[in-house]
Amino acid sequence: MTEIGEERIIAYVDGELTPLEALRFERAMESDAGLAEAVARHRRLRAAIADRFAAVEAEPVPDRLRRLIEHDDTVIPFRALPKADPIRRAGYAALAATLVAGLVVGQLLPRALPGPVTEKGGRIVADGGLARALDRQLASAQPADAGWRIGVSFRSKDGRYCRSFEGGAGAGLGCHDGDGWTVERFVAGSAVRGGGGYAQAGSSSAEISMAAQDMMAGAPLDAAMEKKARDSGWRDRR
Amino acid sequence: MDETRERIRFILESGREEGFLTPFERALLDLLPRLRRFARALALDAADADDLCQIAIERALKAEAQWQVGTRLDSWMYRIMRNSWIDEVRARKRRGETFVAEEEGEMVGDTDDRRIEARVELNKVDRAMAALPPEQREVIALILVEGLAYKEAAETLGLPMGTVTSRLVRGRQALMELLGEAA
Repeated sequence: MTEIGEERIIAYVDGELTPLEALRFERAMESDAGLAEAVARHRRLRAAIADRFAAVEAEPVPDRLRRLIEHDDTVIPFRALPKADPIRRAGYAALAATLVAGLVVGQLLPRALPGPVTEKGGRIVADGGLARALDRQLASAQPADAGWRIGVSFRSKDGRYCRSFEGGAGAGLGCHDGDGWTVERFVAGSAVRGGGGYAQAGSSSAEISMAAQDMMAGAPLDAAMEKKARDSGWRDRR
Repeated sequence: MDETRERIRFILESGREEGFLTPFERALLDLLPRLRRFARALALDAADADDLCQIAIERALKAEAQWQVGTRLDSWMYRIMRNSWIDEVRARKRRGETFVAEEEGEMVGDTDDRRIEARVELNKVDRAMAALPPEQREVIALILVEGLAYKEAAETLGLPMGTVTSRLVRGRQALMELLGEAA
């Protein structure tokens, strides 16, 4: 093994040579016992290191590590699904996000609320009391005992009217798509009842506020603009 | 189309079992055994390795938005973990602490039972790995333990290929010497 250096031997053992290079290497090995022995040594080394740590991979994963990922305070970013063909255009990830999100929303919302979300053509849309609140409730004049409180109303960068909301089950963001409110985002949280309504813990509200900031074109609607938009059925798209 | 249906079924079922995970979390969970393996190859001490895993997972969950869908999650996680480990190594150096690993199984002056136990458990391969400088160990861990190609290892570490291969060669030569024919 005089002409062939250590680096090349290692590259051969690691499968890093091109097929042509590997062929030449093997030809050289046939006539060079020292080279063949060096290859065998490096193979044994690689196997010894790999085997030692393969044992770690086979160990059960400690619960505390699993729990970091399987957390309870779930934040679900709802991906905006294109209307035409959600699977082809948005791909698997978007479909998966919608499905998982739909499942979570369905599970997490308290049964006492009258069916707040439903699935419609691949979208998660507001239903029942939530849909009514998004349709009718003005942020400037909310009933003290409202099940859902409207936060901010704004026009999104893609021209839709969107409104943030919070209630007993969590906080979220809905955008009007002509025939209803697509729930773009929902954060399950723990609400505290008080002062005649629900107030979400800071983190879920903050999460939704940040999402709203990202989606917003210009400034939030003021009271007059909000009322005008509502009276138009949230439809006067530009 | 069958494939899509199969995926939907998988997502729904795994969601039910795992407490409703996003696809990102699901993928991270599947990666855990390999992440623990990589952490152990870097840190060698079992408790250190799981703490390192925890730090890397916490960082990843916070930085989820920075991970690009369609790119490899494993490489991204290896990078986060390796950077977390470098931070740890530097912090310990500043505090003047030595590593379990560097003492190669000696027990002088350590009263911490867990560490002594861990040290006794270090087998021959662990001790040889521990003797490597961190920059060689991480290359060995990515290529020999995790099975990455040289190019993937270079990308993960943000190093030129030449640097990776020379560290790999030096690291391997050192291991060969330390392990002898036992390897």
